[in-house]
Amino acid sequence: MAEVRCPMCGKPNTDDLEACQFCEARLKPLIINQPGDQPASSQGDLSDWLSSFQAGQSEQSQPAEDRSTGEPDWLSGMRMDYHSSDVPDDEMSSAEQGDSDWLTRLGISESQSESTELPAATSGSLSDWLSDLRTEDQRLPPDMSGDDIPESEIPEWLASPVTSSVEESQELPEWLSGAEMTPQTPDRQASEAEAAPAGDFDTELPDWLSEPAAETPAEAASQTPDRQASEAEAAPTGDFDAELPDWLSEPAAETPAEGASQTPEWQASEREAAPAGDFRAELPDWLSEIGAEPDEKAPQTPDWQASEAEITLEGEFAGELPEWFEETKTEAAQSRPQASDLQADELDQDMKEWLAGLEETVDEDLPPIITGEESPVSQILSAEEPDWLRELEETFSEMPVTETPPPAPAGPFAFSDLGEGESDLPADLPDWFSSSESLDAGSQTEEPEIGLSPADLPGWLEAMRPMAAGEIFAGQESDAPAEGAGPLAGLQGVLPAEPDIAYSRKPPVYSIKLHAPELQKAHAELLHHLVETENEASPIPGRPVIAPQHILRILIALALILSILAPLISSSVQMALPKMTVDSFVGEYNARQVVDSLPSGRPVLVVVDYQPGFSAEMQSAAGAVIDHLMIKGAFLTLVSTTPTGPIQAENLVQHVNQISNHQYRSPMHYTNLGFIPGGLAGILSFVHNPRQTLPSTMDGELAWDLPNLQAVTTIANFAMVMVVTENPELGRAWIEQTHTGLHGIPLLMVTSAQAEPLIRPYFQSNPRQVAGMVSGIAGAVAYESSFGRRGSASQSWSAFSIGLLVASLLIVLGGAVNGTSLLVGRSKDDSGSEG
Amino acid sequence: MALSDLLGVFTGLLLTLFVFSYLLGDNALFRIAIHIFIGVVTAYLVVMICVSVIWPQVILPFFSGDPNQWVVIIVPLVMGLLLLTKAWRRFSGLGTPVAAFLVGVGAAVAVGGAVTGTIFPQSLATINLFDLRAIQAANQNVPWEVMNGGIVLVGVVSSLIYFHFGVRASSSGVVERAAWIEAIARLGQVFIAIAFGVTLAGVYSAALAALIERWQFIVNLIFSFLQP
Repeated sequence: MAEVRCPMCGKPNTDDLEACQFCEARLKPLIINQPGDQPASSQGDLSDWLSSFQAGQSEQSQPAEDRSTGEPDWLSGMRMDYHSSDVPDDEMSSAEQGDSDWLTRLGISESQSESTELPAATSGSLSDWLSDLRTEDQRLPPDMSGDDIPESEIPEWLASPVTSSVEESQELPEWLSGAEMTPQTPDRQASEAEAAPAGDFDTELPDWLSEPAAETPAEAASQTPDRQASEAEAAPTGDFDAELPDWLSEPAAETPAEGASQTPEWQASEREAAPAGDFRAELPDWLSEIGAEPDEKAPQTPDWQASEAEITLEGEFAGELPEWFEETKTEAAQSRPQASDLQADELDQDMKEWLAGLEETVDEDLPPIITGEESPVSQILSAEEPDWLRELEETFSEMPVTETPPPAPAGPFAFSDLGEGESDLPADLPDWFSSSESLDAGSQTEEPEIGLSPADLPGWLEAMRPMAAGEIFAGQESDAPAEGAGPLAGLQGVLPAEPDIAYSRKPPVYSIKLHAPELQKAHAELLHHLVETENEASPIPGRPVIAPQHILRILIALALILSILAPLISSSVQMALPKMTVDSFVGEYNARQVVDSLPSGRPVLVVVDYQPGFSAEMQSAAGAVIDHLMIKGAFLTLVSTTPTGPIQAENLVQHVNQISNHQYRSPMHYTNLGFIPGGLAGILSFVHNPRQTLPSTMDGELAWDLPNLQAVTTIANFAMVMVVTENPELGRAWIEQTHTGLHGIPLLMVTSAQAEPLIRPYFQSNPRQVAGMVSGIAGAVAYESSFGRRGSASQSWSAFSIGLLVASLLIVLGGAVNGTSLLVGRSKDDSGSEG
Repeated sequence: MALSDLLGVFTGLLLTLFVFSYLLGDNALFRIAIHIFIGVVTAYLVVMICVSVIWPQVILPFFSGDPNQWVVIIVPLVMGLLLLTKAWRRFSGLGTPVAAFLVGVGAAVAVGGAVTGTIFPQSLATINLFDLRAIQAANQNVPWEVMNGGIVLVGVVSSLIYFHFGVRASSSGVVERAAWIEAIARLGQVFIAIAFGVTLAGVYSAALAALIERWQFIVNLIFSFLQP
């Protein structure tokens, strides 16, 4: 799909868009279709006005039969629409059969339409301001001609059409370029060939510009050669109009032909002042070359028209002519058989004649316009003139004339000729005008893009152009890079990050070798060694088989064992038995008094609560009392609060029987009720309800059915309670739980030597909680000795005494050694510290 | 000597020697003897509990046919079964009330017995040491007994104060007990050390008695074999 650049922003857009997709500027000028317009498709590449113009010319100049043959439909339609009323039918038919060489017919029609008058209605469509402006220009003195105005001072929007006309003529299609240079055409065709650029240019013109031409083909045809020249020169104007804003282009579009016919005075003066040769000097090269020769051969006709008519370049451009143009030439030759035989001189003579007539007609038809008098149309339009235009008119009318303008170059409007500079313009120009002037200065430095007309930017928008700022900074010397595109174009150093980011360089190489002093390296190595060896198990030094401690331990053991074995083996080594007195063995003494006071045959509760490890001591201690009880004939009721108690109780009785030669048997002399579960609660339960707590004996018999126990319902029914324990806690528990249930019966405590310190307070308290106590081997020996018995305690007394003595000696010896070593160590430390 | 008695005597002799082997250090013989003792004691405990507790106090009353016995047995039996659930974590909550009941009852019994059987009587006994009339009635030396009572009183008070760990921060920021409490506590520490010494002597006395008994057993056995 083809692209169309936006005249405002310059960005490409697809040609099917009406408005720019970026700035929403109109890409295609507003087109007002008239009812009589032909469809654009039927006209091909030609615009409406050119087609109608061509049609009008062909009707009047070519026979109908000639024009009808090979003529495109759009041309036929154009003729039908515009000239059906003016042209006879025969001519119409001949015109329809005519050739399609519109350029040829254009010249003929122009010659025929010279006598036609310009319709007032057509001129009425001219914009007031434009017509007035022309009027003002016509009233301008000759020194205000545009030639005196330097081109650099011409606003861009005014100068661009003039300058671009040459460029655009170079961009003409090939067929049209060829047509322009076709020398075989008549003079009028040649003149039209000059207008071809304009016509071709007009193919791109909008309909609004072509409509007036189509509506008034006669008017267009009645233009004088000057007008034709101006028309030809107006082609760029048409292009220029295409870029004009709507408000400016519309009035001009309404009366293009009229505008052309009502040549302003300044234009007329320009024409008068500018000879043909001068005019051609402003023409493009191709056009100038064409008109070079005819000036000499046809001096009566306009130089450029005559020269063009006489130029024979058929052979030179034949190969470049389009096909349709060749056919047109052929048809033209057929339709005018005599003309084909005419010599070039005859044709030139004809052209001279009608061109001269045209000049006269123009001079006669346009006196009011040329003289500056207001026409009725202009009067009507002046009523609609805006205020600012009136002001502008007054300003221009009052503007002083300082210089005589040189001959106008090309272009009908030649707005570039309006003034020499800003000083010539009024100060209160409208914004759009002043902005255009300011734009002119800025746009002089710009090179117009080929094929793209510069946009008509408002002044405020032009002032915001970044390039203007860039131009400001352009003169400053700075190393910072300038932005080349975008909104910051031209500014320097506004985006310094971009080159910094993009700038890449090789990263520096840093050494990874650690620079540390030797001391730090030594510390690091030590730390590394510590960390490495942390998880390693340190080897356990092998213990010697015989260590000094082992020897010492064995020596102590041997000393004790030998000291014990000596009295056991040898009867000569015996220790004296302790004598129990009231002061020395109070507990044992009181215990014996209690046992001695027991009636015979009464049940005695014996609690055996000691562990097997203490059986030797406890058997010896309790054996003395049990032996005494057996002597007294007491009925022993054995209980225990430890699981091993019952078997220890049974072993105790058997041991006493064996040592003291008693014959106590269960259940006649004693009974073993077994284990009392529940700890303290069991003790308390047994104290208050022994039958319920231990209903049966270890043998499975009902304990309370025994004759000696039938009267026992509580613990108070026993004659005595004796607790045999090595555990002071158990002894205290029995004391605490039974003191409320004994009701005066004696409580004896047979304890181990280790439990004596904790149990004795209950015996020595006032009142006594324990009636008597026997503790350890010594107490048992004292107890046995009190009534002359030699029990197990007395048998082991010598060994026990020697063992205690040896142990005491060892303790003293060990203490002395330790003390000595300690003193020696301290003295060494003191001497070491002093040294 | 019967064969069973002879096996028992030799077994006793071997186990005794195994224990004595500890004089040379920890060895397998000592460990064998220890393991045998632990195993025998555990087995004995199981048998003893079954024979002395479960059978006579649970099974026999249940099969006695006496409904009154059933009523008495059901509550302890159910509580005992619930207490067994403590062995499984999923059902241990069922035995918690029973355990709480046992702890509560045991604490109540212990506290009650301690208060009525130890604290009040021992406090009263400490006070009565200064009962001059009682001393004179017992024909004892009053000054001596009063001094003896004073020592006991100081020993009791100082020993109790030793277990007082209340402290205060001094002006210097040091947290410590008061100076007078600290001095009395140190005196009480002396009494406590003496009591522990006496207890240790009793432990040694008990161990020595056991050693004598073992060697006496060995000597008697040897003599029994030597003396036909």
